[in-house]
Formats: sequence, structure tokens, C-alpha cells
Amino acid sequence: MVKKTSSDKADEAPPTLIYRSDDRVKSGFFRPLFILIGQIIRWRWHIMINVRRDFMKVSRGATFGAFWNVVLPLVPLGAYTLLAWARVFPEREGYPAIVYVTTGATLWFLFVDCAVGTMKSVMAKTSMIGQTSYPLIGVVAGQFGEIGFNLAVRLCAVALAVGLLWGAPSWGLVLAPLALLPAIAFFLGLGLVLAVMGSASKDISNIAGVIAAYAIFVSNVIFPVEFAGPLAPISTFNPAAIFIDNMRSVVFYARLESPVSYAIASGAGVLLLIVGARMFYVMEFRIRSYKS
Amino acid sequence: MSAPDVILDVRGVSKFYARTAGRADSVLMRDLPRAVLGLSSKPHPAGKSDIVAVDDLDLMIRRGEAVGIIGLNGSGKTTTLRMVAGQLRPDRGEIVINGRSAAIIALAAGMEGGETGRSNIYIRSAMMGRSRKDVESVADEIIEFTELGEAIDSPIATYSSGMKIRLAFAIAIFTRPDLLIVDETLSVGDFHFRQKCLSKVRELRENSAFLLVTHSMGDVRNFCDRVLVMHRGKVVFEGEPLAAVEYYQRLGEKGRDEDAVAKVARLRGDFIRNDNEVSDVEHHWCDAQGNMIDRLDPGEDAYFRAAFTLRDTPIKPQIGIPIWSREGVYVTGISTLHSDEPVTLTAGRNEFIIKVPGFPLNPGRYESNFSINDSGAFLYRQPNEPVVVRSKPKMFWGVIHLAQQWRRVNHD
Repeated sequence: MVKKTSSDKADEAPPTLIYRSDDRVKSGFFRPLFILIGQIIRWRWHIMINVRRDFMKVSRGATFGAFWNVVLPLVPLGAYTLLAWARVFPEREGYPAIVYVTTGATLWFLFVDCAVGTMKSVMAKTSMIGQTSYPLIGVVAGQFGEIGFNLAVRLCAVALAVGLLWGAPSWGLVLAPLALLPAIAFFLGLGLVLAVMGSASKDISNIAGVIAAYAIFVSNVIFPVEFAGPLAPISTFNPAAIFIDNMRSVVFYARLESPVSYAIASGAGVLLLIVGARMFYVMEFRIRSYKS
Repeated sequence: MSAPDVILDVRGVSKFYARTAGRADSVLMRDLPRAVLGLSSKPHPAGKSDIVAVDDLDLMIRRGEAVGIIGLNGSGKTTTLRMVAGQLRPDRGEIVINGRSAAIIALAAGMEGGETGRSNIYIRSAMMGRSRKDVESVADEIIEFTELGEAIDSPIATYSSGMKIRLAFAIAIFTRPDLLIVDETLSVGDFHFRQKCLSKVRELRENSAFLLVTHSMGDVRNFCDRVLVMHRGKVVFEGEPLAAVEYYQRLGEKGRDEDAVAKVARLRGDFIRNDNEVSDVEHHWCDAQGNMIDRLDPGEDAYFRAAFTLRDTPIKPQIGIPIWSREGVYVTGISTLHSDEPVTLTAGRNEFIIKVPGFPLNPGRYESNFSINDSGAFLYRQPNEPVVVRSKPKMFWGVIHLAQQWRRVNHD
């Protein structure tokens, strides 16, 4: 008889399942990431239904319906664009201010949604799914419907700004999604770590929210960090600043602004995703037991 | 390693819950570094901050066996089921399942209210690891079994509880699980459907095992081969269904008794004896001559004797005898406040016989206190010996018998 622990193939119907307190602890370093992906595939129907439900929630009861789904993601982007148009922010040589801000803010919101959004959705929905078999990673995957839609809407605004103020981007645009993957890995991994730690301590979730609110000013989002005075050196170690700067240069100049920093940040991103997936997978049942 | 025909093997399983949110956070924080580093967490110590939901449970179910779990509320039945279904991990011990399992625990779990019954067949089956093609081959059978008719294409949010359980049960049963785990949700269905479910389950018994949690003693007697009685997280009885049901019923009575005793004790309050103020106290239920009694006939005149010595004359005295039923119901009270004539207490010896004409309480055992207070401050409060009102052939209801006279006012 083939004997597998529940951590081996949680999503098939194994000949033998063994549930123990620590059955996930010995699941290895890389395997949890693949098991979580397997869970997402298995629960795809539920996840898609939840995505649809969350999408409908925004417009339910509103006279203008889905209009709000489109407008709301543009509101913060519009606010920064307005300030850039009014020349409130210092400009970066080689980029029109509005193009700089719209691209930076779009990427920033994506990163914050991946990190802080993951943490908040897990903390908010754990008790709701506690009485079911729905995996916690389904909650994380479910929020990517909204994140993806918001990103698409903001990219339309970016395309409009670029079209009007820049013209055609470089051929590097086709590489942009690939270049973005390590950044998403980094912030999703960070989100998984924060989700676990935030479940154990409300302070951590509050601190993460505060950092996200202020980090925008040292991340090359609305103005270059070199204008941030004594905070300028932070950009050297700030992965958000590194990813945003390099993404801009890939899209508009078909080159990496700082290849070494980007490579290090990408490596850190992959590592953080693996670590975050492991933490999340190992701690899932503890969180379900104590938070539902 | 389990024997080949063993489908479920639960070995020394315990499960704890944190009593407070602070405790939950500290346990999570404590386990986090060890879990991340790949170290097994230390056995979870069950202290005052924890609730022991399941305590050292052992259970083995073989193919073809149907095992029931019964117990009072909070005995750990549902936590056990949720662990077997993989929704929770045990804190100690291990659960081995040899084969595919399907669980019907929470009625709405795994069902999408906005989707039609038909869609939910696919959604829930996918969740159980079945491919779309696989489900398509049995979808018609599932729909036929549910007897939902055209409602199968309506959103399940419009279904009654009975309709939902039909659908959930049919989906689970047609996955042909090796182990079917059913919580008391089955009792939601109507009689006809329950019979149909039980008949279907009997069909599957040769190749499957069943774990059933229920409050329906009928289902336990008719369907289970073996029954576990759980109490406060522990298995306190395991055996034949009839014996288990009998044990459970005794446990229920004992539990009710324990609860009632605790409730009466709580209601009675703290006992007080101020020997400086009150001494040589005697108090008891008695007959007309003042002789102590512990039994009365319903409707018989009852008497209570109280004698005590007071050091000083109280300013605003009151004597009270609150009475509680065995179940902890505060029935009534006897008090100097209700006396037809003013009752005075003086320094020195005081002795009273209190008469309650036609004691109106129905058969049962009654607990009471005797208390003396002055201006609201208790000088003395102690329990009386219980008094039992004897049964009589006439039927009675509730605690009090109201004197009544019937007169027919129309004459055809």
C-alpha cells in the first residue's frame, strides 16, 4: 500500500491519509509552494465564484453598477496624477511627470495589494471558512481576481497617459510581464508571511499598514528617491524602489536600470515566496484552529 | 500499520482550543518559529487557558462497519468529525484514513448559494477530487436521487434545508467514498428521504465505512453496528447501540442533575452564620406538632419550624425561606413580609411555626434556605433539609398546582 501523509498530496485522493499535529512541518522547503498551487487548481471553481461575488459586491445596490468597479481603482491614481500635473513632485530626467507617476503608482498599488491585501483578506476571512474544508490559499487566490481587474483598469489609464505624453513605448514592453513576475513573487511572499504573523499578532498587521502608507515616498513611485533627502539611501535596499525603477526602464528604454540590484531583488523575491508559502502551509491548521 | 480492512484508525487523538483570544495569539506566536524551521512543536500543554475538546480518543472502523458517536452538547463529537474530515489537525495523536473520504458536516459547507444545484454538483465534486468527466457520468443519477426535479436548475440559496441536505448527501454518496462522515445534518431531511438515504447507505455498506454523529437515537439503533458515547472530550462508553443509548440517556439525566445541583447551589448564594448575633438555631420542615419531616403529600398543609436566640433586638428584621425545585427553578418564597400579622423579633429566644395551608407544589424534591436579616444585612443564611412532595396517581404539570373549580354553564 502506498502510504502518504496529508502533506504529500493533500489535493488528490491518496490511498492513505495521515493527519498529525505536525504532518506539514516535515513537508520540505520547496514542496509547500507546489502543494498550494495544487490546492488552487482543485478549488478553482469555488475561487472563481468568490472572485465573481467580490466583484459584484462593489456595484451591488449602486445606481451606476459596474461603473464603480472601474472608477474606484482610478481614484488614488487620479489623485497622484493631478498632483504630478500641478508639478507638485520633483521630476525625473527622461520621463514626463505624469507618465512617471502613473506607471509608478500602478506598480505600487499592485505590490501593496499583493502584500497587505493578502494579509488583510486572510485575517478577515479565516473565521468564515473555518467550518469548511476551503483552503486558506483559496482566499489569497480569490483576491487576485480583484487585483488583476484593478491592474487592468489602471494600465488602461497608464496607456492613455503614455500615448498622449510619450508615444509608443519601447519593444521592452513585451518583456514587462516577465520582468514583473519576480516582483509579484516578492510581494506575494511577503503577504503570505504577513498573513501568518498578522494572524498571531494584530500589532504586526497594524505596523504593516503604517509602513505601506509611508513607504510610497521612498519607493520611486511619485518622485525619485534622491529627492527624499536623508531617506534617499533607503532606495538602495528598498525592493519596491528597485522593481519600479527597473520596470519603467524596461518598458520605456528596453533595458534594466540597475541589473545587479534587480537580480538580487528577484532572487530575494523567489526566496521570499518559497519561505512565505512554507510558513503559510505549515501554519494553516494552527490558524484555522485558533482563529475560527 | 493498520490492517487492510481498517478504513479509519484514530490513535490517541486530542484537540485543544484556546479559551481566550490572547491565548490563541500566544500559542500561534510560540509555534511559528518552530514550524517554520521544520521542528515539531512541543506537545501542546492543556492548561487553564485551554478547553480540552477531545481527550485521548481511540477509534477504529473497518470496511462495512457503521459507527455512531453520541454525546451531550460540547462533548467533542463535531470536533472529532472535523478532524477526521481533515478540517482540523489533532494536537496529539494521529488519524489514518485508508481510502477516499467524503464528509457532510456543515450543511452549507462547500455549497455555493448563488449557483444552481446542478452547478454545485460539479463544484462540490471537484472539491472532492473528481474530474468533470467523472462527475458527468453520474450527474443524472445524483439529480434523480435528490428528487429535486426542476429545482435542480435554481440557485441553492432558494432551497430549504431539507433540499440542501438531499443534494449534499447525494453528491457525497455518489463519490463512492470508502469512508462517509455524516454529522447530524441528516436529521434535517424528511422521513421519506432519510429512509432513502439509509437504504442507499446500506447498499454501500459492503465496501464503505460510516461514521455518524447524531442526536437521533432511532438512527443510532437502526443503523449503527457500534456506538461511542462521548462526554467532556472522552469516550466514556463503547459498545452495542442499545446499551450505548441507555448509557447516554443516563448520562443525560446525570448531566441534568449535576447542572441543576450547580444551579441551585449558585442561586442559594453563600451561607452565612453570625454566631455573635444569632445562636442555637433550629429550622426544618415539620408536621403540625413541630416534628421534623422530609416528605409531604401534595395539597397537604405544610409547616416549618424556626427557633433561634438573638443577642439584640433587630431594627428591621425579616425571615425568609426561598424554595427551589430540583431543576433549579426558583419556585417561591415564604417571608415575614407576607404574614397577616406583624412578626416581631426580640433579643433572646424566638420560636415560630409557619403554616402553609394546602402546600401547592407538585410532586418533586424541593430545596430551600432559611435566612434572617436585619435591615438588609444577613445575620444567618443556611440550607434546610430538602423536602419531597410525594407522587400521586393524578397527572400534574409544571411545579405548582393551582386550586381550581370547574362548573359547566350551558345545558343542552
